[in-house]
Amino acid sequence: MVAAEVSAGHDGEAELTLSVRFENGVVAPVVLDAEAGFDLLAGCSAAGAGDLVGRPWRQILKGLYGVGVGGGDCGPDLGE
Amino acid sequence: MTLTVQRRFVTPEPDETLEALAARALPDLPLEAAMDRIRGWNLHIFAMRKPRGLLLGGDVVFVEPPQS
Amino acid sequence: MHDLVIRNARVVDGTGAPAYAGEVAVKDGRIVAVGPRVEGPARAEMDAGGKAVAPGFIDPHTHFDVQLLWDGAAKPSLEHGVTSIIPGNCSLSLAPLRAADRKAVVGMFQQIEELPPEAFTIAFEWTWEDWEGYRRALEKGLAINVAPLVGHSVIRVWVMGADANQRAARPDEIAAMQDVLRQCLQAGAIGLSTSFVDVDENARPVPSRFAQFAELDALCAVLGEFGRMLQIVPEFYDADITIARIDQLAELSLKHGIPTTYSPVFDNRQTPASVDRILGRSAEQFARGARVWPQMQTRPIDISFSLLRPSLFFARLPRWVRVLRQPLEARIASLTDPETVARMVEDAGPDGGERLMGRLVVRGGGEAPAHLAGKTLKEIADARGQSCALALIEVSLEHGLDVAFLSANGGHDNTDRIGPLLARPDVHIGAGDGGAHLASFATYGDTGYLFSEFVRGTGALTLEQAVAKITGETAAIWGLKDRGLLKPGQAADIVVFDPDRIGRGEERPIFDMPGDGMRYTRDSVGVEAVLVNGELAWTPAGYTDAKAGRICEMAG
Repeated sequence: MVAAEVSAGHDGEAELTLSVRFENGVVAPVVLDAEAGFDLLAGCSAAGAGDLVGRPWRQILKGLYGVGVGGGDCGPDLGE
Repeated sequence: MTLTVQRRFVTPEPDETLEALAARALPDLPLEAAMDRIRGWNLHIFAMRKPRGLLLGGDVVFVEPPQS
Repeated sequence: MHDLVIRNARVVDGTGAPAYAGEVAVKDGRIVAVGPRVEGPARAEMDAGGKAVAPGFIDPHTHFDVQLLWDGAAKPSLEHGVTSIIPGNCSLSLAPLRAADRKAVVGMFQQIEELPPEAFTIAFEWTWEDWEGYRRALEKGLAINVAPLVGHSVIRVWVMGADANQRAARPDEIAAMQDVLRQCLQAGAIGLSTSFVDVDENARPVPSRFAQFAELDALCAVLGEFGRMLQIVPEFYDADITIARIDQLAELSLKHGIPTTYSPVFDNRQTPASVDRILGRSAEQFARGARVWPQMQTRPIDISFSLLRPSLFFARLPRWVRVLRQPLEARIASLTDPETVARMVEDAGPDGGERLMGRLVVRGGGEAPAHLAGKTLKEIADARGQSCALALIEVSLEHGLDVAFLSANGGHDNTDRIGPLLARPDVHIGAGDGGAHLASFATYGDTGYLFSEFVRGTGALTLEQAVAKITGETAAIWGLKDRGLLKPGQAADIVVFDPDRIGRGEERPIFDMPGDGMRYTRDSVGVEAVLVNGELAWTPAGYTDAKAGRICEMAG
């Protein structure tokens, strides 16, 4: 995770735009809506969006899957 | 005019599961690793959707990370 | 003898040609003469006072489907100079629709348009199931012209019933959908809309999203028989997915000889490369001969939220995140706990949240406190002798958390950057969403905003270019017959406006939806007269009794 910023969605909701460095070195944005954004923060025990920066993408995904899929499962191992 | 190369994707077959799609799209990877890759590259399906991970016939499913 | 001659006009004819001092003559609902001087007597004359006289504006992306059944003017669109609208976007239309399926489709409409339930129960009578019947119901009392799309989700429901949002269609069902689409097009639908984004009231994807590409391809084959438009909503929040959709649209456009359009496209500072990549891909596909029109809105995006639902507006404030993601009861308990509140205020920064929250505006409507509506949080905090963060919490608590705050210009707000994008010949101005998002923000006045910000403001477009973008070019993109230009033979859809004043009013809540339902609106500014098919439909004195709107015919 390179950066996390609040952005404006088409429907007037605040969204979370994450800048992610992928395994091929490309940094690209990933936009999450409110539900996914809050689940992500909760799932990886991040205090706030700023707390996500510097974390491995693998941990971010664990946060999402831990909340959203199968409850408590730590999710995929991306083999970083 | 030649089109610039863009990020590759597939669309799900009817009733296709993540397992089947991952095996089809990334046959050189072990299945679990292929599924993890597909999840990580497609948060519009695996994070933003209710129910999370539900594959739809109209989906764009990326089979590689962002290229730019 | 002419029915009407508009004299002393600055004629802006919708082609992009230079404006000139001239006159426009109208007879039997059509323009019969335009030029520096129009000969012959007239039953009535209008002095334009040297103001701009242009073709009526065309709004290509609206959701007025339901409202049109009790309000044939699609208020307030008409008073902004819009004389033709395209409803039925995003896979949703009100036909074809069996009585047994109404509940499911109403849920989708309520989700997208935020209409109150009464809009579907007391405001009109369901008298139709097929498109022909819907057209008859729609035609009664139209003051504005309507060019309706038929929705893919609704066609799916018609053919597949409850399975429409469960599975892929069988070949026989796809063939049945083709037949239904063909019937709709023959009965006046101008094209097909589909969506890859929208959800129903239970957050489940709408039926169109369950279609395989082959189903869309089959439906586009029918569009090809008529040369009609396919409109889609792509995953607009992601440039890579949008580009994939552009490529799919290009394939369909080239294969079936149809125009396609996707909306919305917008620019955010957090994803600065996205819009250039998206428009670049469209340009590549145009160069191949595909017609893939990006629709870009003119207005900026505002963020709106209350403490009733967790908003990512506070995502950078850890203590706020912790409190706001609690269930409602626990959230209220935390917000009334002095220690917790003190930590939240501390979290908001040494200025008490002034930098982050001071410019938030309290919105009117709903349960909002009327005496605070329109004020900034800084003003409210100063009056209360509190920090901005504490004022936000306490004002919210005093009203059951049901106080909406607006953070203006949260996105698509860099006018220096957006103006040149809007001016591009391969960008279609639209995506306004008129008639949708009623309780969230006003979707009206985008045409006025085009002139105030990008003609008078940054100068990115000339007056003539701006008019052409929302009149002649729009009619040509969609294939609307005899609309969009001031020239003999065209329908007399005309707007008179002051180029030095045209704009949009402040956003304000009104309660004119069925059941006293609330929506946000904007008044027109600088529009002086609107004629629809030769009839005066609106002046600053108000709406007239004219009901001259029509279902638009298609060229070719």
